Amino acid sequence: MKHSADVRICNKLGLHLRAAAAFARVAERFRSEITLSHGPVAANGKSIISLVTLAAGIGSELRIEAEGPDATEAVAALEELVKQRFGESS
Amino acid sequence: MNRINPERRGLAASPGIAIGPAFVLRRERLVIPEYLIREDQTDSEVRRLERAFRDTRARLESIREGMKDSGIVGDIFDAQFLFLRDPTLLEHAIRNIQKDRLNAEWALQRELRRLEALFESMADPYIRERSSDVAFVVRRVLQALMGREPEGLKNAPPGVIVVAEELSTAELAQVPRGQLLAFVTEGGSRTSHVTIVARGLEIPAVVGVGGDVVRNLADGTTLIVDGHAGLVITEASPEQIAEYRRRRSTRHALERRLLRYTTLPAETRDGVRIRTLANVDQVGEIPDAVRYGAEGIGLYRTEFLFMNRRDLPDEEEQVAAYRDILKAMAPHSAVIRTLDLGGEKVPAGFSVGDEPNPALGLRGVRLSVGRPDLFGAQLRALLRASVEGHLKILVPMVSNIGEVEFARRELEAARAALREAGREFAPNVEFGVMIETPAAALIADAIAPKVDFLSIGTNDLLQYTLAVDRTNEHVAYLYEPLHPANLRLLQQVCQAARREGILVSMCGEMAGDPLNCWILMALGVGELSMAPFSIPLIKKILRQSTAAEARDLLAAVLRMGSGQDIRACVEAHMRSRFPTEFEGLRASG
Repeated sequence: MKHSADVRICNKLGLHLRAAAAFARVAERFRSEITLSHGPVAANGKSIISLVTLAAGIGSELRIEAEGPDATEAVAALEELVKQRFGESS
Repeated sequence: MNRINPERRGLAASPGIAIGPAFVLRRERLVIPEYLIREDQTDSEVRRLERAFRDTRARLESIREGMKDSGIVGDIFDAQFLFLRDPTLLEHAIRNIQKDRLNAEWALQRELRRLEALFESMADPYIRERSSDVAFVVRRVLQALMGREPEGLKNAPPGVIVVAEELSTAELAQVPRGQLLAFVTEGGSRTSHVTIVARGLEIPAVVGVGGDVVRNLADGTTLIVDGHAGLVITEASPEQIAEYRRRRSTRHALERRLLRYTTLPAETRDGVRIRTLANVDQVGEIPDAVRYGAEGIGLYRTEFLFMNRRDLPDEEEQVAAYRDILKAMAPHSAVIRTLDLGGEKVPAGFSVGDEPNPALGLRGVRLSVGRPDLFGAQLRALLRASVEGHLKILVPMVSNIGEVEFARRELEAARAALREAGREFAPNVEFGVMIETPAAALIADAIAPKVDFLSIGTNDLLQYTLAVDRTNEHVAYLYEPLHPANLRLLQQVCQAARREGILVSMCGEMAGDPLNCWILMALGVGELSMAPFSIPLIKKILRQSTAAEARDLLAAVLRMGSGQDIRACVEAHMRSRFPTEFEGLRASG
């Protein structure tokens, strides 16, 4: 099963280390393979190193893709995380 | 040069004084074996690598467990942990084994090199710095692969001062709390992880002392670490040791008593109120500043946004950074200074060429006049962020009225542009300029009607007024904040502001030295901005003073013609009035 969603980074620091860590932590909970892409660059959603190197600042448009048994749930959870600014206060 | 300079200056990373024997962390040079394996060996090589990762994880896990109760370092440590668990790191290393037949150590080392290059190319300095976290994690795995014990502080005896080229938070965390007196690192900055941890653990630390300390220092050498001044003394005389001991105990007692002043206003017995503000370089410093009793930010320098990167931050990125600051400080005000670059602080994307005399060159508002596009973007970003708190915009390095008018015009243009675009900004944004050239101080009466506030930058004002570069050891003795020339300039500025009914604030080191607080209050400076940990003492002194006695002291010193005499008079006076406070602080800066 394959699922995807487009999101916009709205926390001030962008997809910096802590945000990437939060993303990877949530992604790890799912069995699906998760990809986050920023334009032509794609990152493994479970890899903080890979995520950080996307260099996605505030306002960046990203695509979350998941493939696997829990793809729908994974995309929903990650979309929510990005919308909630990675659980940061702002 | 195989002896190290007995005094080393670094960055004051975490306050406090420590005296004790050095424990020098010498890192073994890991010689990575590199050989090709046979195809039938790849599976066992992959397993060997996976086992090393597992073992390292288990070890770091138990370290983390041990530091849970410290409660401060968890987050930072988690980041290193995530690198260790990161699928990219392991998968790529495995691919190097399977495809290129590299042995496990070589395979991992090659992946590290790739990541380091990748991180190095990132624009964000914070992310670039994380490269060292990955390197640390990889080093631990390599040591596990090679059957080496990771060097560390586990064998450090209690009561030592750790000296190292670099320290990781995991290493620091291995030492039971209370066992480490202080630490000193050759590298590092005020934003390094270890610096943050040191402040959390409340142990003194000096970082960035420069090269070759580790190589030339014997274990057990008695060190003095002064985390207030950023000073490390390696060959201390018995007198120095005695002096610092005394200073340490006075300081401890004082600090404990001072903490209750953090929440009280800096108000004299006869009702004169001074606002105490913090100089802040990073949003992360704001909680600390508030804890020490800051009633706002007196100076936030935006240069940090522009430095250590190849491109320039655009308007959006700036909006995000300024919003962070304003929001964290709200409802208190934050003074954000527009770009002051020049001389050695030149970011990528700016080329002003080599200047023979950068202090007198193209910097501050002069650069903004030359690049109104950049200045305009910064002003728009500041205004857009202003809805989050109470913003005061400060323009540096003005030396004539034309520059003040230019900045005002640009600010009006930025407001108009935002209105046009339907963007929101706060109506109460204040506009001020920095008085840091003698020229600006002397025409303060002409400047004051055109601004909402004035901020005196004493470090530059003194350098220009006295014609002294205080980092030049031959003339540093001439640097005297209480020089009558300086006091007279300050007096002119305060008088001009009073006539216009606007506020004068002061940032720069003169403002944070408790010795000067009477003089500055009597001159009419209404806000003092300083390093956060200086705030409680200034509050205490002002609360136990009257403005009347401060005015008497000022009147007396304004009649004197010599800076030395003025200093002697102020010191004698303050010391007799506040014996304990000034005992503990003597010569700490």
